[in-house]
Formats: sequence, structure tokens, C-alpha cells
Amino acid sequence: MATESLAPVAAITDLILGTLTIVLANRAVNHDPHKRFTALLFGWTFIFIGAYYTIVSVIELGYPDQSFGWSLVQFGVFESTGVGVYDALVFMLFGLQSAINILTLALALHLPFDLGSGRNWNSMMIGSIGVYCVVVPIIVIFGGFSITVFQSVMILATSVIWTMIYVRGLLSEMLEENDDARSASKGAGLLLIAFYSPSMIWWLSTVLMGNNEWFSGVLSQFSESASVVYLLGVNTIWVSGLLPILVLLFGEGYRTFKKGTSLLSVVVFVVVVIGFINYFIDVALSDVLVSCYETECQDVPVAFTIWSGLTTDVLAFLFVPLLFVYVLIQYRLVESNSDENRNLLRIMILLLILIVSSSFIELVQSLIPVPQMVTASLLAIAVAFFIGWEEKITGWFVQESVDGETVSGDALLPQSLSKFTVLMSVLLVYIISVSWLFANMGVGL
Amino acid sequence: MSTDEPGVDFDLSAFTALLDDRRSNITMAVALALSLVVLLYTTLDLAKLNDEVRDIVEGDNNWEVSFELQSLTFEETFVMTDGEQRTLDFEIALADVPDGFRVGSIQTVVSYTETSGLPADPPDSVAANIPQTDMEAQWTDNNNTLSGSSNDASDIELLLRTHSGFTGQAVNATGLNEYQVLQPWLEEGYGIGTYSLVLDLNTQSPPFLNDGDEEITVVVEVVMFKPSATSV
Repeated sequence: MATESLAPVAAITDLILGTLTIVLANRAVNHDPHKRFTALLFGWTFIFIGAYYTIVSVIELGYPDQSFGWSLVQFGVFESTGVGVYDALVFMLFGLQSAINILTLALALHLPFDLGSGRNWNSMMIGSIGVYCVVVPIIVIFGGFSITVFQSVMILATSVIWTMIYVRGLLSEMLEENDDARSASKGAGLLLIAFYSPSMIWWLSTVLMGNNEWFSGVLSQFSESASVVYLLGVNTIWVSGLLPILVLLFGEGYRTFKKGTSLLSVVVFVVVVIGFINYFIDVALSDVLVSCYETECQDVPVAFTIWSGLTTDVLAFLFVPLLFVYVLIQYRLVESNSDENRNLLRIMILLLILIVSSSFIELVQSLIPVPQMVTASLLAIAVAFFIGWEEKITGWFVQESVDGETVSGDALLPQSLSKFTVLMSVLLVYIISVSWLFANMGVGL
Repeated sequence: MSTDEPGVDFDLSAFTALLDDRRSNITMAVALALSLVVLLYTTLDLAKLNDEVRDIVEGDNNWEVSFELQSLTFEETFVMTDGEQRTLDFEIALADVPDGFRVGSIQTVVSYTETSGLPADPPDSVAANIPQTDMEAQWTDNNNTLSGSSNDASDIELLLRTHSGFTGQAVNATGLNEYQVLQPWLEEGYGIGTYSLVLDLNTQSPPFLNDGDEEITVVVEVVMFKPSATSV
């Protein structure tokens, strides 16, 4: 049974969303400059994530025999192969991952609201992003890849900031009956889900050490023993997902008990349930997880591939872009009042929903033997639904709420915005160039 | 919670405002403390697992694989006539192989003596051949002896190696663990099926006398092995 990868779909949607967000942010000259800058941060995060998935797709297509997985880049498990193009592509992933990490931290400091201000605040932000994206990819490439887990400190910091904003907003709403505070907690919660759901769905495996059992199989592939600091970094990444999901679970559980369900609570409960089931999958597959050193490496069963495709992949590749767009529009990061922008937003929303729904149907078809005629009918129904309800769907995304007022911060000079766009373009080219250069020089061999 | 003071160079008052609520701080402190506990014990567990893995991976990976042997024997004695070609089929079923054993090789001995009782009767001529069948075996192994003949009443000894590398003697191997080392020896299917032997008889008669047949005995020994590995 061939499993269709969703990475190309995620690449296309993220690149389209990134481009449209940057265009919308740059042309809304009368819009709040802080929101424009935050939208630019969002747009460039889309672009870098889109570029990341594009390279993943190229690797999947061009090098199907290479065992390529999430841990390769996230935990720096990669070892140079000597195949120039392949190594260059993986080097690029390390560079893009670093850029995504710093952009996410910058977003956490700007959204739902600016945590800093003053003349030098945004300059420091832009400068830090630039320096980080120039220096860190080189350090990772020359430092032996596993050094990349040191970035887990930043990943945890980002997680803690948004979790703190969530807690503050939730307590203010529930204990002080300040309903406006929900905007901050909802925004922080959705952003946490959007950025941390890949580690959140292993929350119970983190607590009960199922992740360790899986990672011991990865460790057996290392040529040298991993240091305790490295192992601490690895578990910090898991804890970065565990901390917010447990806080969100208790917070949304309490809020649902008092006020009923919301988009955020439903998403949180779904992620928690997936994480709960995933632990027992770990238990069921424990022999496979340790097979590389206890017996010999075994493949996971097809049933796990189907489950993973319908949960992890759908969440990370299809649902996360939807969350991004929801936050982007709900919090008025892009100006949606003018007709011109509203039309672009409509295109953006419908395109995204259609891509996501058609990809999901294709995924189901590739995993479960559903006749093509049935899935074609389902797609037609989805298209008819989206066309018929286009106005309502768009309206749901851009509905008036106080969320947009939550986002506030410093004024920013217009030229800083355009400079930021130029800087990020240069950084993208830089990451691609240095990766190509050093891979072909044999660095890491 | 916004701060918009363009006259200030650097202002983190929004950040400090985020931390000025006691209930939030306590909630967050509890969450962080619990996370720290999880981080510490998961890291200790992973460090312990790492040590165990390194012991396996970097330990002594040299092994000696030895074999416990058993055999299954077929024996047939029959009379062939001059110029006759006879095919004997021996069925080796999976049920004939004890648990944990694999078929390593099949040894065949074809023997006969001059039994005519005629004076000055020279030994007859016997040729034996093992044709390839559907049985999974090392049909192209250089150590095989798949055909032979005799015209002096000496035994014809044939050998078909069924399991790759099996000689009956212990062998050295490398691998991370016993499972990996034994894996090549645990492949199933070899030596199961039909084993055929084709015999041709040409009698030799003394002048003016007729020696038209011969009694032939065929012994087929299916050698089975059960591997075990010892770290050396």
C-alpha cells in the first residue's frame, strides 16, 4: 500500500500563504505597523517552513532509499553521506530549521502582543534574526549536526512565553471575568498548537518515557556515545511540547466546564487524545523500537503508517496552515477591510481549504482502499460545499471580534518593514548557498 | 498590555506586566517545576538507556556459531537391470525437521557389490546424478558433488549443500547481538521438498556369461543443524 506524502502539499500551501501574507503586509501602508511587522514575521515563517517541506519533498522523491526522518534534522542525527546534492539538501534543512526557530521566538515576543517596545526593540529583533540565521547554520554544519539540539533552549523559551501568556489570559478571563483576555489566551493557545503539535502528540510517551525507548534505537545508530547534555537537549524538545499541552488541557478543561467548548478546546482535546493513544502504540511497538540493537532493524507495521498518516501528518501538514491563517486573519495581522485585500483573503482561504480537503481525501484513498469513484464524489461534494458556503466560511475567518485589538505594540518605520523583507530574502539565499558550498566541499564527512 | 513609547530606547514593561500577576506566576511555577522534574528523570532514563545501547554496540562483537547436528536417513535397496535408468525421489517435509533445526546438507552414498556370483565377473558400472529440483538449496555451490560414477564397486558419494555456508563445523561471525549473528542460520525453507537421484546401470559380464542386473543400495542422509552463538 503506497502512502502518499503530505510534505509537497504542505510546501505548496505554506509557500502560497507566505507569499500572499508578505504581499498583504507590504501593501497595507495604512495598517498598524506593529501588525504589519508581525504579519511579515508570520509570512516569512510560512516561507521558511514551505521551503523546508519543499526540500523534504525533493529528498523523498530523489532519494527514496535514504532513511530520512524527522529526527534526522530535529535531533541532529544526520551523518554526511558524501552524496553532494543529498548532503546539501539536508544542510539546507538545518539552516531553515534554525531560521524557523528564531522566527518563532520573534513571533512569541510580538504575538498576541509586543513584550518589548522602544526605538531599539524591533531593531534588536531584526538584527538578532539576521545574526542568528547567519551564524547558527554554520555552527551546526561545522559543529557536527548534533549540536543543533542546543536550540532546544530557544524552543523551550518560546513555548514558555506563549504558555505564560495563555495562563495569564485564562486566569484573567475565568477569575476576573475579563472576557477580552480570552483573545490573548486563545491566540497563544492556537500558536502553541500550530508550532508544537508534532511534539505534543507524544506527551504521554514523554511522561512515561516511551519516547526514550524509541530514541534508544536512534542512539544505537550513532558512531559515538551521546553526551548527557545532548540527551538533555533531546528531552527538552519533548518537554517543550509537554508543558503547554498539559497546561492547555487543564486550562481548556476548566474553561469548557465553565463556559462550554471552543475551537481551541476541541483542538486541544483532540491532540491530547492522539497523544494518549500514541503512548499505547509505543507500548505495542516496543519490540520494533528497540529492534535495531536488540535484534535487527524492523519496519513499523502498515497499521501504524495509516494511523500516523491520518493523525500526525494531517495535523502537522494540513491543519497547522489552517490554524496559521485563522490566527493571521482573526488577529487582523493583515488588513481585511478593503475590497482588494478581502478578495485576496477569499482566494487564500478557499485555496487553502480546497488544497487541504482534496489532499486529505487523496491521503485517505492512498491509505484505505476506498474506490476512486467514491473519493471523487466526496471531493465534488467538498467543492460544492465550499463554493456554496464561500461567504460564510470567509466570514467565519474574518468575523469581527476583539481579537484584533489584542495585538498591539510599537510603531515601526515603513522602511524597516521593506528592509526586513530584503533581509529575509537574503538570508534564504544565504542558507541555500552556504549549504550547497559546504556540502560540496565535503564538510561533515 | 501594550506599550507604545517611541521616546524610549528599550522598554520591557509589557514583559514585566506579564509577570505581575501572582496567580499566573504560581500556576506557571508549578507547571515549570513539574516540567523540570519530567525533564530530569527522562534525561536520566535516556542516559541509562544510552549506556546500555553503547555496551551492546561497542561490546565484543565476535561470536562463534556452533551447530548441534541431527540427521534423517532414507535407505533403499533394489535391483536394477542392465541399461536401466531409475529416478528415486525422496520427500523431505517440514514436519520431518525438529523444532529449531534447519536442513544443512544432503549426503548420498550409492553402494553396490558384484553379486552375480559368476566367475571372473568384473564389477558393473553405476552412475549417479542429482538433478536440480524445486527444492531451495545451494545448487551452484562449489563444494557440491552432484554426480559421480563407479566401475569398481566402490561407493559413490554425493553432496548437496542446502543451507549457505553450512559445513557442519563451527564458524566465526560478527554482530551486535546473538539474534543478529544467528539470523543467517535461521532462514527457513532450505532443503525442504523433493530430492531426486538418478541412477544408471551398465553391467559388465564375463565372456560367454550373462550378468544382466545388480543390487544397489542408496543411503540418503539429511544433515540438520541447530545453531547457537557464543561470544568469544
